[in-house]
Amino acid sequence: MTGRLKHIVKEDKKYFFLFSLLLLIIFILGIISPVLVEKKRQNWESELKAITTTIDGSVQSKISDMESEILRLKSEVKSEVGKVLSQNKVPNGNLFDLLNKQNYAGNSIEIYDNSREMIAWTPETAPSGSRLLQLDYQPGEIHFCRTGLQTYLCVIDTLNISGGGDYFLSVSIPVEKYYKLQNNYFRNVSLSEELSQKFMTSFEIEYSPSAEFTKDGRKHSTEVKSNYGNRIAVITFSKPSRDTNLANLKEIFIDFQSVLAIISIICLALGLRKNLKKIRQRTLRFAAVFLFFAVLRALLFLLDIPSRFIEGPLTDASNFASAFGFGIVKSPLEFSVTIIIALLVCLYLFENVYKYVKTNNRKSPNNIIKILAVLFGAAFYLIELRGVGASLKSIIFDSSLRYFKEPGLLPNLASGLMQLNFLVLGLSSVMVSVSVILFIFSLVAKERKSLKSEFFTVFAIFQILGIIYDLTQSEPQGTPLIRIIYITLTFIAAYKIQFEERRNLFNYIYFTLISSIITISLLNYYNTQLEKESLKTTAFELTRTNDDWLEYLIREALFNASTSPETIRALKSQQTDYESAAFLIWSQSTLQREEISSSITFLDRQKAFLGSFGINIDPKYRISPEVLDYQGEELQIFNNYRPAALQGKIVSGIVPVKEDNVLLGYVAATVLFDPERVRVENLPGFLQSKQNKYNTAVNFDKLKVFVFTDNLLTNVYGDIIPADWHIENIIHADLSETNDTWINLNINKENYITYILRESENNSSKIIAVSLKEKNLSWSLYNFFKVFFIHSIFIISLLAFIFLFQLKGKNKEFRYTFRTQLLAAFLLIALLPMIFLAFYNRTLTEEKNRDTILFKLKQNASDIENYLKEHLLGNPSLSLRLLATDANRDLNIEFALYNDKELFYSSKEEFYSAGIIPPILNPFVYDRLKHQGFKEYVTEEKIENYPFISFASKIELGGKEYILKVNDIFNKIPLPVTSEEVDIFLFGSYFFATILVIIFSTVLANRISSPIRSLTKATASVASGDFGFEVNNNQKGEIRDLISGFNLMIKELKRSQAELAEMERETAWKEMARQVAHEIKNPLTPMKLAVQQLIIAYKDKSPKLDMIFDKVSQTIISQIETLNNIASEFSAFARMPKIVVEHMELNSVVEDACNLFIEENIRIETERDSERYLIEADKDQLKRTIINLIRNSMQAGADTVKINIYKKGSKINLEVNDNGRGILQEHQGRVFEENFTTKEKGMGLGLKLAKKFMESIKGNISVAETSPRGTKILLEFPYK
Amino acid sequence: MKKFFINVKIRLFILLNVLLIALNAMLFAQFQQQKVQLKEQKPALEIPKSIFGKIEEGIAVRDLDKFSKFFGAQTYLSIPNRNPGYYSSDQVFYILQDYFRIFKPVSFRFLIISEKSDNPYASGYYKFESKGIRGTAQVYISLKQAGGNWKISQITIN
Repeated sequence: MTGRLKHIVKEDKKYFFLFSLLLLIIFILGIISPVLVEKKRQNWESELKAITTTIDGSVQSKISDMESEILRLKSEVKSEVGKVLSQNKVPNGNLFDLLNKQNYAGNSIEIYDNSREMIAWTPETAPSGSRLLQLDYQPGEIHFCRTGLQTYLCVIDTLNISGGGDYFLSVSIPVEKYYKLQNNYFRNVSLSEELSQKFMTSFEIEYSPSAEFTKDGRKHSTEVKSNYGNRIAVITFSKPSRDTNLANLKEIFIDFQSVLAIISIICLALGLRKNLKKIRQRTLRFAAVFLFFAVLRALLFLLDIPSRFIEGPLTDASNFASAFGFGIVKSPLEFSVTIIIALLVCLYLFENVYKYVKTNNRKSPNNIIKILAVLFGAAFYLIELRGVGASLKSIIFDSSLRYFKEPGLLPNLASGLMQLNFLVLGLSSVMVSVSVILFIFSLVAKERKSLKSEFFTVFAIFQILGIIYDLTQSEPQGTPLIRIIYITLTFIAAYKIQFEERRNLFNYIYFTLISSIITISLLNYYNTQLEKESLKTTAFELTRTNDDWLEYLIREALFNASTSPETIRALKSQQTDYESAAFLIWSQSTLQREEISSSITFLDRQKAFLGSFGINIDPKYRISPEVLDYQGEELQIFNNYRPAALQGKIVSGIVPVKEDNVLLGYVAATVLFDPERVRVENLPGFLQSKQNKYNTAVNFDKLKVFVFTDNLLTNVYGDIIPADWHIENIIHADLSETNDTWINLNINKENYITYILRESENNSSKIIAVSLKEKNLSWSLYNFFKVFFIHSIFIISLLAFIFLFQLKGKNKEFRYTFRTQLLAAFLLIALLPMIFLAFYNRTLTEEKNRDTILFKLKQNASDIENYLKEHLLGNPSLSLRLLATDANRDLNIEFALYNDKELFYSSKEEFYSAGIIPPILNPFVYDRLKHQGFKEYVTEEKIENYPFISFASKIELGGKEYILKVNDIFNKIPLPVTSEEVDIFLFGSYFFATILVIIFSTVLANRISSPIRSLTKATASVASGDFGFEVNNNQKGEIRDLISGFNLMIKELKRSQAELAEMERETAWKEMARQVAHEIKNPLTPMKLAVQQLIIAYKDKSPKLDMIFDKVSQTIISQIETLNNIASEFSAFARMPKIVVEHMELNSVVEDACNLFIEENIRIETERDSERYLIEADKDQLKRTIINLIRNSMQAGADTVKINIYKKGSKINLEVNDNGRGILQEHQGRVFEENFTTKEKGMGLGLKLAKKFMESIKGNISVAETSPRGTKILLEFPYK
Repeated sequence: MKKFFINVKIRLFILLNVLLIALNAMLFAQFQQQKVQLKEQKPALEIPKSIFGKIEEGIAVRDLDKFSKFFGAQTYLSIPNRNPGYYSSDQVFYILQDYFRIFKPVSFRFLIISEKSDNPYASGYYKFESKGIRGTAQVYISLKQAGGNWKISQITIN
């Protein structure tokens, strides 16, 4: 065991070292953090001094930056304005153009002439005309100035133009907004909040030269001085709390430790990675991976990562929260983390099942196992599908995001992430489902020939089991149609994988596409359920608002108002902008958030009216008689005021506002409770909370509401009055124990789904029936494309990623292949017109919508103008203000009249008097109408960040020129189709088409270029000397002829090569024979002469016989030696080419050899780890050996060859496994013998040469396994 | 051959166990999700005053489990910086958990508890501390009967 552990640790030392190091750091941090915290606690006094000094310094630095910025801005504007005024002595449009440059946006800049008349300004104005007269500050001195709602950092300066007179320039930067709006349009500006958040302590700023330092010892004040050294404000902050600081320090340590813990577990995983690969059992390996990811997720959850570090919409539970798994999906971000981990597990499962199935050469199990596999697999498959359905139901019901109702083409961050989440959820599900199908199929399939029929049988069984499964469920998830489609699509994907010979990363695109279709369909289905459920919610909503609730709202608003410094300031200063002060109270109360018809009113000590702000309450009802009569000293609520002219009743309250027990005045709050008006109608968009638009599943306008009190119909909301039998049906409906029920009503031949709720209130019975036309449940293509558009962006991104990944994997450079050219051409031809059409349609709709708005606004302006003129013509002495009020009432058009640039009248005057909309005419409108001679002008404006369109025209009334202005913020103009709807439909459907075009283009480009690619590969193979194959020819036309010609050419080449080789051999033999003869002749002649000399000497009985004998013998021996040498040389000449041994990487040689078979009917899979195995061998001979082995496999009927490379002891093993016929038992011992072959045209040399080669490099080759289902040849190389 | 069959059996056994673990994990996770719903089914015998007491205690000590069983299937929630509207019980739980994590309760008590109507309610002041800054918010919570049980129908914090 210890040895095994040592082995493990040795393999990946660096990761284990890091793991240990991180654990040690975590441990050390755990020890030192309490020490540091304690030390800080003990030295808190000195720490506090240092912190206070630091904050003081930082605040001064911040103020200094702001002052520098405004001075820079003033200098720039002054210089530019000076140039313009020098060139044009009379102010004109150039001045407006200059001030309204984009880089001045958000600031308030005004130019005054020497009579203090404003001659140019920016859209956001902080009018300072009155301050010019007060001369509180010297020209050029920075100071703070305040309007009713905001405080600005201001500077006023003089501008002398030689020969052009004196001008004043005022530049203001907003620093503090006192109101808050709870919606996305609100632009918050608050220096005090910014400082509070930055320094984590409470800041109060008194923007006044007379502001005083705090006397509270728990606080610290710092002075803000102007550029002239005068006090202009005092900033006071609470000295940071010791406990908060210590808690923050602890939090920092915990954050750090959490991150280290996660990194350490990843290091551990990396360290064990190689060992994972050594687990031979796939299932065990999968179990280990599953366990690791489960532990990782649990750890992330326990440490609250990533939510600990990220705040905002991604971690907002209102966007999605489910209690599933203790809360591992408690927010969109946590859901992402969980689902990504799930995806990795599913991906690993799929890859392993894929490999398992593709290398499956086991014997088919018995029938019981098969039946069990199908049943168990189908059960798992269907439970898993049910899980996906349940998850999507939760995504709809546990979320406030309305995926099909969001405005705009692109979703917000949270919605976008959730859409990615459920796409990934579906993708994981599809991968698991396909894995289950492939696995079951691998167990069920007998042999390859019967695969397809068995596949369809399994498919049919799954479909039948799906129906049975749904029948057994009390509440099936999704619809039968979606289930059938899901099973069909996953089987198609599995079929493609099972029967397509080549592995394809693009399978994941198909999976993602299936996921998108299924998840959006399920989402759409559950959305209709939610819409139905919203009838219930509406009934609850109608009963939610009661006296208690309204009284609470008033009490809350009044209590906050009575303690607010702003209220005290307003009443003390006797200022005139009480409307602003009333708006401040209203905006900070729940009244704004709830969009309730309500008002806030300021009264003086004698209860005389000072000013008010209200929404949808006529000013005459804003103060009830009880409020005026009230003489008490405490906050008081009244709820019995029912004016005869009003449908509902008024609930109101009053609170005296005191300072140091001295009564300053009163604040009154009023709420109109009108059961018939469920919501405030025509609330300007910039005041709406997001509730209306997003948080309701169905548009309220589509609902019909019938309210019964004691069985009598008392209120109807909507355009349908129920008939008697409808009323009977509602009143006598059978209610459940929760006092509610669902019924269907047939109204005007349309089916209405109706929810009925019975409530008891004040001893009377109340029935609320909420109906929705069944057809209005939005199951539509629009919904599908709304989400599919986003999914298609993800899918196309995935496609691009796969493309780049493949590109990198091949040659690391872009290859401009024939296929690529074809694909590019197809895409270009198909997509260009689509993109062009999409943008054209969008532009067209936008223009039409704008034209519709302008037409309607123009018509409104014209109606108002005609009304005013007609009435003035009959009676010129009529008050124009009163006439304008009548026009607003009679025509129901909201408008404003300007006398020059000043507001003269507005039907929404309180928005101007409260300071929400500037009472100065928009500078662009003024410039165009006054300076540039336009008669009418259209402009886009903004309140906060809410955009709207204004139409302005010059009109003459009673001999005086006015500017009439109407906008679409107060005059709602319905559009038949909004730009967003067009965007969604166009881009959604076009993106869907784009994905289809990409898929079809890829298929077509592959198909057309396939023979060319085959020929290219074939040519490469021929070039490398491999003639042993034929290009498949199932083409038509010229391509067929080309391939036939090529194959014929290969055959001819092969034959010619054989003939040539034969000829060469013959020639070589002849030449050799001639050479041999020639070489042999040379020594034979001296031998012959010597023997003849010896014979003569012998016959002559020569006395020198002995000597001659010796000499002749020497000669003969010498020539025999020569003959021997000649024989050796010839022998050496005939030997095999010399082996060139070199260092090489085994993997690359195997890859080169395998590449030659890419276009052939053989699947070659290589399985190896990431290590580079270096061996010493002859590269060409090794490659030839591998090619030889693969060819042998093919000739043995194999369609799959799997090559495994791994290290075993001191050797590198290379296994060549095939699924061919195998080697007969009687042949097994002879396969490496010379001249042994079972092939018709074989020479019996291939394996012999392979063996000889392997032996020459001190390796070995052997038949490791063989059976009728395949053979394993093992090549062993010495490890270098 | 025998060895081969043993291998198949072992593999199937391991796979079966992995699948069972996965299924169990799914079921257990779903069970956790259903806990709130199961609690809902339990008859609530408590009177509104007692429920408000639990809510008061739960908010004061930042333990939502003390009253999460009273969340309705759809509860109206209106708190700062979030859209007011109806939320599922799971959402309400985590939204409030987040809210109380950011605005840590210093003290909380109901000043008014009304049981007079069919919609009992309570309102009070919630003192909190958030990133070193202290503040006060007003809380309104109302109940409603559903199937013989009292459920929280509305929570407003401002």
